[in-house]
Amino acid sequence: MSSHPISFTLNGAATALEVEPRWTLLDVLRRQCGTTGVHAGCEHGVCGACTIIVDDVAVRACLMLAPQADGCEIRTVESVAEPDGTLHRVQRAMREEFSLQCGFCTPGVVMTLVQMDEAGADEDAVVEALTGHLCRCTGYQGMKRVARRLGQATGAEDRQDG
Amino acid sequence: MKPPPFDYAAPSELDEVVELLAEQGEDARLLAGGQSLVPMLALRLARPSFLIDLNRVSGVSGIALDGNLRIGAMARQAAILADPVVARELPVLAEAIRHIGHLQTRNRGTFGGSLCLSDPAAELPALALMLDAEFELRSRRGVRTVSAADFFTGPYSTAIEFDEVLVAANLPCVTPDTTMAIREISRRHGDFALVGAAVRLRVGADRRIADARLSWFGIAHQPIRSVVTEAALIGQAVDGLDCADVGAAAVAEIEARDDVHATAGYRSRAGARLVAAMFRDTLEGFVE
Amino acid sequence: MAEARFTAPQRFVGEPVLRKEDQRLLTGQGRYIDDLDITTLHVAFVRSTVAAGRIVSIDATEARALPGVHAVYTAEDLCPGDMTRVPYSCGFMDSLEPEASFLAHDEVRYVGDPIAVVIADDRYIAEDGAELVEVDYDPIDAVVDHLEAERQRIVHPDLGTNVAYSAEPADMGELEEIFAAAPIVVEHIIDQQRHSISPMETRGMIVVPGQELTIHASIQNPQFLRAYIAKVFEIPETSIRVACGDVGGAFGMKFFLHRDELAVIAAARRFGRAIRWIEDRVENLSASHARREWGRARMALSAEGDILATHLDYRADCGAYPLLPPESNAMNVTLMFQGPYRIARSGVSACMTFTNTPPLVAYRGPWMFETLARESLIDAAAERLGVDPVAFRRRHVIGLAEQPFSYASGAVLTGVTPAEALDKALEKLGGIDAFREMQARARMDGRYIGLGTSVYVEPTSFAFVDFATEAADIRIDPTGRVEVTVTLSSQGHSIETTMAQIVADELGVELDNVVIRFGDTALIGWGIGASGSRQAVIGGGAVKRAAETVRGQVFEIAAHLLQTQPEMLSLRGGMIETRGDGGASVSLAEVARTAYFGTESLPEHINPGLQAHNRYRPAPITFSNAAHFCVCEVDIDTGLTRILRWIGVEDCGVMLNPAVVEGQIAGGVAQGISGVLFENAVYDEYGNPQAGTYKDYLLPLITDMPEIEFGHLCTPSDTPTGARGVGEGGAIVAPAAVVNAVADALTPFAVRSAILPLSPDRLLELISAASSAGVQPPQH
Repeated sequence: MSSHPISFTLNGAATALEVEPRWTLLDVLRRQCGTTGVHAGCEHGVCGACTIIVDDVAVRACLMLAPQADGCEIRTVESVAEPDGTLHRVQRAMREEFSLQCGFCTPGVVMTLVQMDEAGADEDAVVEALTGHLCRCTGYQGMKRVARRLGQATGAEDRQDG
Repeated sequence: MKPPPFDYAAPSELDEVVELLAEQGEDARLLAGGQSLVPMLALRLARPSFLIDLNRVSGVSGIALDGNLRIGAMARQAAILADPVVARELPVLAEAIRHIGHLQTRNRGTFGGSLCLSDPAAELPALALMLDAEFELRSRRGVRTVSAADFFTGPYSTAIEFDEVLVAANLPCVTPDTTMAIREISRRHGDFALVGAAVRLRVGADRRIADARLSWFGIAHQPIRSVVTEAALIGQAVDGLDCADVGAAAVAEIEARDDVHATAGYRSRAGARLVAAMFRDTLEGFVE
Repeated sequence: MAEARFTAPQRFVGEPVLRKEDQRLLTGQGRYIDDLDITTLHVAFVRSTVAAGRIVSIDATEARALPGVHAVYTAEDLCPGDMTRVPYSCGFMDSLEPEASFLAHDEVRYVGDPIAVVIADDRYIAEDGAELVEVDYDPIDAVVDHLEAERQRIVHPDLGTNVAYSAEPADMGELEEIFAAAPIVVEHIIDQQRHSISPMETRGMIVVPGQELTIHASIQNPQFLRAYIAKVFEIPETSIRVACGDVGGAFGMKFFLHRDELAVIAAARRFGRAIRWIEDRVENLSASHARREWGRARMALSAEGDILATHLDYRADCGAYPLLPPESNAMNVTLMFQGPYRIARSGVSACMTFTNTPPLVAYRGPWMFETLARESLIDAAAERLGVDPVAFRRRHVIGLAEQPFSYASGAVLTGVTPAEALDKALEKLGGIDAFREMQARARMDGRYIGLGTSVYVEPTSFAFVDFATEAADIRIDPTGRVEVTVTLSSQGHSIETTMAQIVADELGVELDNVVIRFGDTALIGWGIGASGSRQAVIGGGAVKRAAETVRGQVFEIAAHLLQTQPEMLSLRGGMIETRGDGGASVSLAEVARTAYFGTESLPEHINPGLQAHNRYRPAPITFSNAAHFCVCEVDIDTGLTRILRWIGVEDCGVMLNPAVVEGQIAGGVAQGISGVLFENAVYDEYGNPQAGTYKDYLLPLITDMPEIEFGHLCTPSDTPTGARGVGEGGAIVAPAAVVNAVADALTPFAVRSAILPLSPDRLLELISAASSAGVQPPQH
């Protein structure tokens, strides 16, 4: 079994590591990089707790092998709020809509919402994207309200642009 | 749930891929989007000695129009879904991809990966079968083309030899006298289909069916066509066609399977109604 | 006493204040078990691949030789001397316990039964090692169907029976006489499938052995489990520290320690170094189960439709090593089966059996079968009588004015509002007639819409014996900030917010100035933690009482500083003021500084410092209740069921935080809906799990859940906060509403089934069977 040198940008910082090819990116982010906000919920790509943004799109960290991250730009939940702790608007919406309880699925949900927010998605698209996340606590009530809020915000901007 | 050990390479050229395939032999596996293979590694259901990662190979992810639609094996499902040429020339492909998994898996999952996995409940193999897609396979021995009818050989099995790689598939575009549809029943949004079908109908100026194609997914152990029903439909008048009969006949040709999500009886019963509804809706497009 | 409860200005309690937990959880700074930065080696288990078999041999030679593997332990290594008497079920009741060890040593009893512990450099290598351990089994017939278990091979030969617990009503003879004489008897079968609890964070444990045995774990109850660990390992509690940080959901699964967790502790003690076991999802989905229950429910009615008696023949699958004591669940089912109705006689016959399946464990409202059985029986009875099920319930349901109300079982209901909740839910629905009209119109369009009702009463906050109390310590530090330590724990319960709301009101400070700590035996003494919807009620009571004491201390010192009497003072906005215009005032910070640094100036009768402890015991049971409506549509071509509307009206007394209350209910309702429509931890006839991953074990997605319409009745309880338990209710009340709604939707086909799950294939089969039997939807 070989060891592979890889480097990538993690939350804006250049990172270089030696990895075994069988390590998942999820484990490397958690164990080698200290970004433990990336959560291991199922390790087979269903629950969405490990969702991160790789090269601007939301993906499952448990379904990427570590060497595949070589040269990528990776964002995790740790990068989303301002350095002083000021929450990003999707995080603020999640808090204000009580869309988390135990918080374990939350970092993945935040990353999907960030991609949706950056894409200016409407409510239906946000809901569709959130079908990729399992939450056992909330019955998704708050997330539905967040989707509506983000969708409306997008609509408002569209109207202004128009 | 950690993958077993394996060696790994991520070549940038197709030539290197086929060389590695030839060198590494039957225990090597190709890694495309990884949305199914990596879970199988984590569960240790797949135990390749060597993994050849296709994600850095150049020239295999394009979407090109050249009479047919040529889709590179490594085209991401999300890219196909967002592609304006696909939306115009073969909207049924985008519709099929909308049913596959979720945003986060489509961002990484590939066209070719789904075809080569050949999950019996997956959308793309059945769509390829319905469309008579042509598969371009490459190995150190050369290039060969395999039709969809010969490509899918069983559950999770295809005609690809161990030293071959799927490069692209050629799909015919929609024509003005043709209607295509794909539809499925699944437990939840994004799940594999309990039963699904892809339909293509060409209707002549005489308002009779000139050509019919019907392929299934989810219902049987592999993607499969109702060839008897297809043949019987040719020449039939569109007006007054008994769609319920079509559904019942089409499903009667297929040996349905049981699994934890639904019985074989369910798949047949619901499948017949699904196809009946698809024919009703599809033929509406031909009503004057 | 109601007016005495709320002497402090109400500023935070009752408001949907934003959660204090969220800042860290939204930014990836939560600290769940696997996030703890403690250097450890890693554990993987060798587990049984057969449901029943004698272990012929275990060969770990190759595994031990694998580079990176440090140790492989079997039962013989971890249980030297006596491998037969691990009290595996936390033993707080006198359960019938078979012989057990941490790891299987003579016989494996379910797929997943732990056999060996592998300790390695990382989890990858640990799994490599586990694969190399060769276990040779002599397979034996597995007992899988719990309804047949009584007549099959004995799962635990030392017990000589597969019956873990059974009971009959004392008045069974008289009950049967009532049924025999009744003009109408309705019988209804309920068969509930096995559920996996499936918290999004799996179980996990980091054990650091040493003079003090330190255990970090993803659990619900550090104090309770420390006592259990002390008992199992026969070491004093004072030499053990148990702690949990953020916990990613639990729902009962993490209330008990499974045998594999005990094995991790034993392995760490034997190995002498820190180890970490993080359960993976495949392990989690078959670690333990709940809800595999069957019932034959009967109702005896007079010709006029009075309910003369109800009886439930209740049977449940305990698995091989039940962690939830079988008798506790049977007793709760028995206690509550009568529900919120005037029923002259009611009884439950219970039989709980061992099988070769994973352990029965607690799951949100473990006794919910009483509501599922009764509420679906009521709909069956209403159908037989030809009356609307909502009208039938209204005729029999108990209202506040009739209480205290004595149950046939002897329990006394007080302060609950089932009749009032049902009326309020009806109001939100828009009345039954309007619904029936809409339903009839929809049927003419080929759409099958149904209304399902479920009304229930819940015994929350059990408070007796070891469960009697919870405690709180409150101290104001010298700067005027408040630190609160409680015996509670949180797996999403929001107690950092709700407990702070209570304290902030009592002490007149901002929420930001209150910190709530919990989840560590080093912080505070005995408590139960998250169990039985008790935290707001019992823990909140302790917090409130302790805060009242500290407020008294603040007033004493402030009165001294302001040269007045304590009863002349009020506390608001961090200031203590004398009443009336232009009164003098002093800040809480100044009082706090004086309490610690200006003690020389205080008269002798005033104790220095601002700190109080309270241990609170409420009445043995605090009841809550709810009425829910489910409106669903069944597609008769696909058998798929969609929830169109959900109305839930509950009475959980004073709501500390309505948004938190609604969040708890919604989560429970989601579990109830998916329990009826999706989840199925199915095993084949040999005892092999068929839904071992999330590809096959289906949890609901955002698109499967309706937006719930809430209504609240707020009848204060006789506890310091006035709260009643609300954590479990949604999961108890919801399933019957779904079952009844589906049956109502399919009335034209005469399909009424409580054989769960109501999966598309089952529903389509029932509809087709009805259609081929000549039952046709009415023509309009």
